[in-house]
Amino acid sequence: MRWLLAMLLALSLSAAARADGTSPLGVYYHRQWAAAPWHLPGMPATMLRDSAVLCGLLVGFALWRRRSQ
Amino acid sequence: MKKLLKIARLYHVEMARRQVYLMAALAGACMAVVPFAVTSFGMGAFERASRDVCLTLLGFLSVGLGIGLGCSALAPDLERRTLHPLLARPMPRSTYLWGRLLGVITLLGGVLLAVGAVMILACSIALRESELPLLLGVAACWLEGALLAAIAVLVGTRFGPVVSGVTATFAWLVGGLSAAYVDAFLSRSNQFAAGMVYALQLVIPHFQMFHVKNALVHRDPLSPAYVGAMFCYGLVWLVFVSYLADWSFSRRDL
Repeated sequence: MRWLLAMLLALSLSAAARADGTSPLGVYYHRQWAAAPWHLPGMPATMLRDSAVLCGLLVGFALWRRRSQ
Repeated sequence: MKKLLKIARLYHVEMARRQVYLMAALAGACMAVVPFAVTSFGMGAFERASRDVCLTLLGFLSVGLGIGLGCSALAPDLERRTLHPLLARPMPRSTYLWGRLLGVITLLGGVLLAVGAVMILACSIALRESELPLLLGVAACWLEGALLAAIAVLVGTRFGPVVSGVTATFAWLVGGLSAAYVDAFLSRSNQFAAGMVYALQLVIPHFQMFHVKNALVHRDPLSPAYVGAMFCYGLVWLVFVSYLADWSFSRRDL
């Protein structure tokens, strides 16, 4: 649980540090962007980046779980 | 793998006994009537109104069914203690959990596909044009419902069905709020609530990504890159939440 909380905290801090208002795990928009995500040309790349970050987290978590067992 | 599929099949048999398919038949019958009912009002843009009403109903069905099935995936076996004889066999807990999850997700997919097929057929007949693009809306609804079911299962590994249902509903409500809405309305009336929404959206999936209803209703072109990224995003989140549920269930003191 400690490790999970630490990971979430690190992600939140990295999100807060980003100047463009996006985060690895979900907050996509610059505050002035439109409501419909499919209108935004950069959205697929952002979603794929977030998926890649999530995959990295998943692999890291699985490795940690195997090691701790 | 064989045991996992067997657990999923058992889940389908259990749900058939609970007459979930009857509910799907009722929803399908409703979908068959809706496009004709909307067109009979003689509204100007009835094509769009028909598509809008049908996809909205399908969205509510997927969310309700996803949360309902997710809440009841583990709880009956835990309450009736039928889980213990199952786990006394040479079968790891993770096989049981992934089997139940697979059962929930495939059942949801089957119900949505059947209801969606009726909806597309009824819309095509009522509007006299092919409404096959609505299939993408059905797939997006399935992704959303499956993710909500996985969240409900994750919470259900620790808490009862009521708490997991409320938590999944809360995640859906907060995760579906758009930044435009939060900035335009919420942050002006309640800055604390707006800050909380942004903080929560850092760690929960963005359900708004799956809300392609307006694009389908107005026949806005959806780029293949967006559709591919949406599926990738939804499936990765689904696996991630399911893995967290597996981890939580493996640590639970039964």
